[in-house]
Amino acid sequence: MNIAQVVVDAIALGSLYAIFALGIALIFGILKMINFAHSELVTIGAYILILLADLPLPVRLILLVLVTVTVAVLMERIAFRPVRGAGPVTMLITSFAVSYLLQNLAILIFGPDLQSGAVWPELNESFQVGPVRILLLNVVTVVLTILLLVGLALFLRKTSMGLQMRAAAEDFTTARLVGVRANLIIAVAFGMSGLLAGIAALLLTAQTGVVTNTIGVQVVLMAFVATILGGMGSLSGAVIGAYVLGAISVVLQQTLPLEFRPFRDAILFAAVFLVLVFRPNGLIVTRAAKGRV
Amino acid sequence: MRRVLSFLSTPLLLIAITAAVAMLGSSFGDASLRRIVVGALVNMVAVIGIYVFVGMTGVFSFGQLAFMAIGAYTTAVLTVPIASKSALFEGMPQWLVDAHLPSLLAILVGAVVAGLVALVLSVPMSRMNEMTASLATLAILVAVYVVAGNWTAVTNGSKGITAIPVDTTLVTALIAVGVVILAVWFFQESSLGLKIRATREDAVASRAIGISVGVSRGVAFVVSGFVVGIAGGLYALLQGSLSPSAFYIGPTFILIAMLVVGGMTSLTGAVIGTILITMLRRLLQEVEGGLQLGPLELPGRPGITEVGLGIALLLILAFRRRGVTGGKELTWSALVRFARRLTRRGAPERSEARPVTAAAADGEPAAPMAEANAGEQR
Repeated sequence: MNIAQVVVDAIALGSLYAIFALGIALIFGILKMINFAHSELVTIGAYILILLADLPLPVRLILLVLVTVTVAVLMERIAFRPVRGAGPVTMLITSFAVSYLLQNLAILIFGPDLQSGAVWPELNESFQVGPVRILLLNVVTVVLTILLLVGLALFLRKTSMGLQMRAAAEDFTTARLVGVRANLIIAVAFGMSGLLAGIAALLLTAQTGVVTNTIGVQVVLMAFVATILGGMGSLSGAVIGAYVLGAISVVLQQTLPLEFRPFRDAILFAAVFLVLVFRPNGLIVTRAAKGRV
Repeated sequence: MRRVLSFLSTPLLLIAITAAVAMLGSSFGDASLRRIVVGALVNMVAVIGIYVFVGMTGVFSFGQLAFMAIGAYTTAVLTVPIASKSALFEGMPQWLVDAHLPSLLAILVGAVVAGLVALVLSVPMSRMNEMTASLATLAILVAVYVVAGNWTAVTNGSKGITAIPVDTTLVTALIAVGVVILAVWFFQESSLGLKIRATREDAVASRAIGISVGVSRGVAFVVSGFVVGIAGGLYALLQGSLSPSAFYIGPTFILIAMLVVGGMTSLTGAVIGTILITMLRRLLQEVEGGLQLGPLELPGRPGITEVGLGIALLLILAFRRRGVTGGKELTWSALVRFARRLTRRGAPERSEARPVTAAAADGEPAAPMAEANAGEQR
């Protein structure tokens, strides 16, 4: 086993999961809602990139961001605002319903078949560094993740909007009392999660070149597990969880005997459960995630 | 005697309604409708099973269909004729090839296995907070799906199992629904059931009076796994074949929609929701097949049923969050009150599923709530 290669692969996979997990953790931090429909934002982005593969890349990228951000904001306005404050279970079921609705709307519009197209072929070239083969895409993924993390940290710490967002995540009621506008903050958070979903869609489809109506769900499931592993309600927890999950995943893929390899995800989740037995609130515990009981 | 009758009025009414609707559907419909009716009864068992955890504890779960899968696969392996087993399952251990049970026993064994798996999982689950637990159940669902799709020696992988004897009939399914409704009713009204529902209403307060929130949720999880496991066994013996996707996210959504539309916090909700959503799906499937409205021809398209179902659930969540029953139980006295009001007004007779909805909609308590009924929410 080539240790350096495993490390590179783990970082690349973890970065991809991190971009997914950030979008989920961002919304959870503010609304205490697990946005199941985040996966469909990714799916929509993937459809745009693949079905419009004839358009020049910059045009597609602009379209991608425009559409995912708009859909994310609309989603909040139409489906989530009516149930805001209705309790976490209702909001969770609502997002599940939105996800199911959009997934099947995709079948209705694009048909159930897998569609393929070249999204950004140049990214699939690789180069050799010593014993390690590195995909250009992996470099882009990692660089984008770092940029997003730094950008998000700066936004949350240095801007007024970011400060309001952190205040809302800490205590929404009090934040509103001192003048934080709830609708605006939530809309901005959804817009940002839409942007994250768009980037995730780009990285995902650049790698696979295919889209189906469930492409988002498959990866977002991993992101969910990453957020519970890292600890719900903290952005750093989500990112750490994503990298840990990516690392375990790659290591399992390399070390599992061939006949057990199809069970990789099941074993992965069993390992996460084992961690949760000892740290039921995840690796990083925030005040919001800690129950009163 | 009166007290016994009034205590049992809810489950007996629910059984009567279910039986009446099922009989009507299968005596007027063709073979395909009869199949739908039996399938709906099996679904009802599963929805009631989901209710036992999700409804009684208030912790949402995506993962209860994992236990349906476990029940179904166990039942299937135990009922496929031994002669066809070794041909069907490559590399199945000999003792499992030789294992064969009559249908009823196989269903029970399947449910017990599902319950045992739930027992093991309930240990880490009961330590997590609600949101983490909800997501963890999603991991359970995916893990079981992955195992079912790849464990060729026992589940035959993604090819699935065929040659299961078809043994679930209208009568057996109705009996199963009746038994499960009664059993769950006794469970939810028992002191343990009340404790579990108390943790749903207020975890902090119930802990203050000495109820262990973790243990309560754990018990509900195991009972739920068992009941959903029964549904799995019935499902296997109804379909005659199994594949992993029958227990994944799509079917999970449909069963959850049944529970939520009916009203998550009552057994009545689980029963009524199953009936309503089954009817809605049937209707939407008709539209999906294409419609001829006079000169207007509406072409059918795959996906219409699912989209319609999603919209229906979103509408309920936005406008009638507690479901059509309002999360309350149907009782005999509420029914009588409702009938009196109708006769006074001289309103036309309505179908039997209505009283719950109408009574609750009028803002009157639909039920003389049981003394310690935890169903009353803020």
